Amino acid sequence: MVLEVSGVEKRYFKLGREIGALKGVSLAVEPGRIVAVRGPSGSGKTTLLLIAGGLLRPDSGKVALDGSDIFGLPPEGRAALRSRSIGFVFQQYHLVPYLSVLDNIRLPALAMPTPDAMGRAKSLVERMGLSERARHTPSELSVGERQRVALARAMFNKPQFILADEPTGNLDDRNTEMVLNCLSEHTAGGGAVLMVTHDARAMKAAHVVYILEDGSLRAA
Amino acid sequence: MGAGMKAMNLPLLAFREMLHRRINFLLALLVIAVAVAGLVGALAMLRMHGIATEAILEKKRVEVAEAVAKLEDDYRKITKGLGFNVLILPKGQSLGDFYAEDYAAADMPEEYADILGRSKIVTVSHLLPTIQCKFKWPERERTVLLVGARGEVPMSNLEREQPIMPPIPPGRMFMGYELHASLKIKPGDKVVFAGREYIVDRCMKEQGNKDDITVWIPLRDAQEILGKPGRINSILALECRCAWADVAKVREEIGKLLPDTQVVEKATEALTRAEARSRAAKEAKDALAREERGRERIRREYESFVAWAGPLVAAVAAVLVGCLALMNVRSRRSEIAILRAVGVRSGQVLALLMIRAALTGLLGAVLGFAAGFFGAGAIWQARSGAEPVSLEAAFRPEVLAATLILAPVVTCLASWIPAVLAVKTDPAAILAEE
Ligand SMILES: Nc1ncnc2c1ncn2[C@@H]1O[C@H](COP(=O)(O)OP(=O)(O)OP(=O)(O)O)[C@@H](O)[C@H]1O
Ligand SMILES: [Mg+2]
Repeated sequence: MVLEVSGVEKRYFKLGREIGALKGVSLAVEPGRIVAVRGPSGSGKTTLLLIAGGLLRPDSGKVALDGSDIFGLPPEGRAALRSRSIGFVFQQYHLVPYLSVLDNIRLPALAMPTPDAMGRAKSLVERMGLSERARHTPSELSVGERQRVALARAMFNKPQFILADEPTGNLDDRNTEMVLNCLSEHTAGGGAVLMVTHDARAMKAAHVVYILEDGSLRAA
Repeated sequence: MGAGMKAMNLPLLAFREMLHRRINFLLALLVIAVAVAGLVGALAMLRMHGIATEAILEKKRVEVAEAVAKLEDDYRKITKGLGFNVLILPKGQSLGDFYAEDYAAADMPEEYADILGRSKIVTVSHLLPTIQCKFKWPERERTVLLVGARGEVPMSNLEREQPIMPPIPPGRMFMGYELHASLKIKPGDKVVFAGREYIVDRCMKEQGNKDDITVWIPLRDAQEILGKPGRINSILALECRCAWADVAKVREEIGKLLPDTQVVEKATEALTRAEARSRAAKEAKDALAREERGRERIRREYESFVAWAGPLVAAVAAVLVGCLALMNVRSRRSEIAILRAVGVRSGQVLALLMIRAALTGLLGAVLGFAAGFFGAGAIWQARSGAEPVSLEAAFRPEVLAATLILAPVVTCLASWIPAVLAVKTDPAAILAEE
């Protein structure tokens, strides 16, 4: 499966002023690939990720999964597609504050019944080195730990695509390496990753690196 | 390992959220519980009021039934035994004079006796028309009470063993004790009375009343002597029986039948008692009816109060619950957005919010019902002078059922708009926020 973003434009309007976030962006995320995007703050990286994941509708352009336009689907169809094929890691993590690490990780099971959800959640906790924190709630975790929980949640449904917004932003060397290993394993298994990053190690792990500047994308 | 091991599901998520955002949940719970308690309490009070009223009225009904039973017993005795006695006098006759002088100065047609005899109003065993007058016995220079009687002869004391004497044969006379004793007259003696010759048929025993100075002769003779042919001045009807064991009614009917008369009951003891009881029973019945009406009125006022206060309380509670639900979904924006981002359908999010509302409503209903019901019981018990009512009797399962259904339904309806707003909000805008 290939995720294709082509000619996407997005403008925000704030207080009567137009902000051109994306000005005709195209890229493709192919199986087995890690695609990294970097760029200055406010350049539209998060916007691009939300559009690529079918959460935010572009003003023009197309997002296609294996050639079919995902914004041609009704909202419920897009939700089903996300739950099957796309895992998000948000810049702000967006963990559910009253659920434990384990329950946050298996939250996608709500959307799609998963056999042995608990077992899978536990194995993800171990892979992220969070075994000691399995029963803790997000407020009891460090920022780096929260980031890893967010990644584990994104991986729970074994999606084809992981879209990650600075997944190593707050991690130390050891944990950065662990996260990058996870992502590499994911692509080795046929998955694909689209991530926003400023981290040199992460960009090294990527197969393709783009720079987003003033709403336009170019190869690094 | 507790809740963590359970499969992830919407009710569990809702439950965890309620524990997490306790203040909002407890406020909503409080609003619902207070509203439910108020309404359930009012209904329970109404119910207890009804039960107490019924108990009081039941006591009164038993009293009335007993009074009526006694009364009926008396009337049965009267109608089966002696019946009652009625004295009919001309209308002009002053009752004071009649009792003082023991005879009637005014008169009325003799045929009244026959009309009464034929009437369907009363069955009369003994119908005794008389004319009576104080009269100076010219031959003997004595003032006597002259009584002309047709048929049987009444004595003045009806309570005595033999209240009446057999009819007086023509040309015969009965004579009171004082007269025959002082004039030394024996039965069979011939006497002349106002120029007419009579054989004394009976000499009465001493009575100690006006009978002792009375001379009884056939009615026709007396009418002629007194110059009042075809007139009488009293009819005594003995042992009357009628369909209504109600003397007042008999009096009224006889009054209609015989114009220009007055009806005086020669009350027997049983009759007097019966009348007193009749009055008592009527009063008891009236009091019962008044009480029933009064209580019914209070109940209706209370019911109409509940009828408008109920929806009002429910509406106010619904608005408050709706505001709390709005605050809740506002504080869960990112959480709802993340659910949507991981693929949870908007219907599921709506269900999650409705489950929360329903659980809150249900718990509020349980707490509110308990508080309202037992609170009402405590208030009732504490009210001085209140008829004790058992709580089991005041408990109505249909009210509990309605509460357990309506409170969650109203809570869900009140939370519906905030929930739909939350589901409609674009998750991307929230998730992109820095
Ligand atoms: N919902 C919004 N409404 C209005 N403007 C927005 C909205 N979201 C983003 N923007 C604006 O669009 C531009 C792109 O934002 P975006 O979040 O995509 O940047 P970014 O590259 O992710 O920045 P950062 O590296 O700081 O996360 C910014 O100028 C931002 O202020
Ligand atoms: Mg960003």
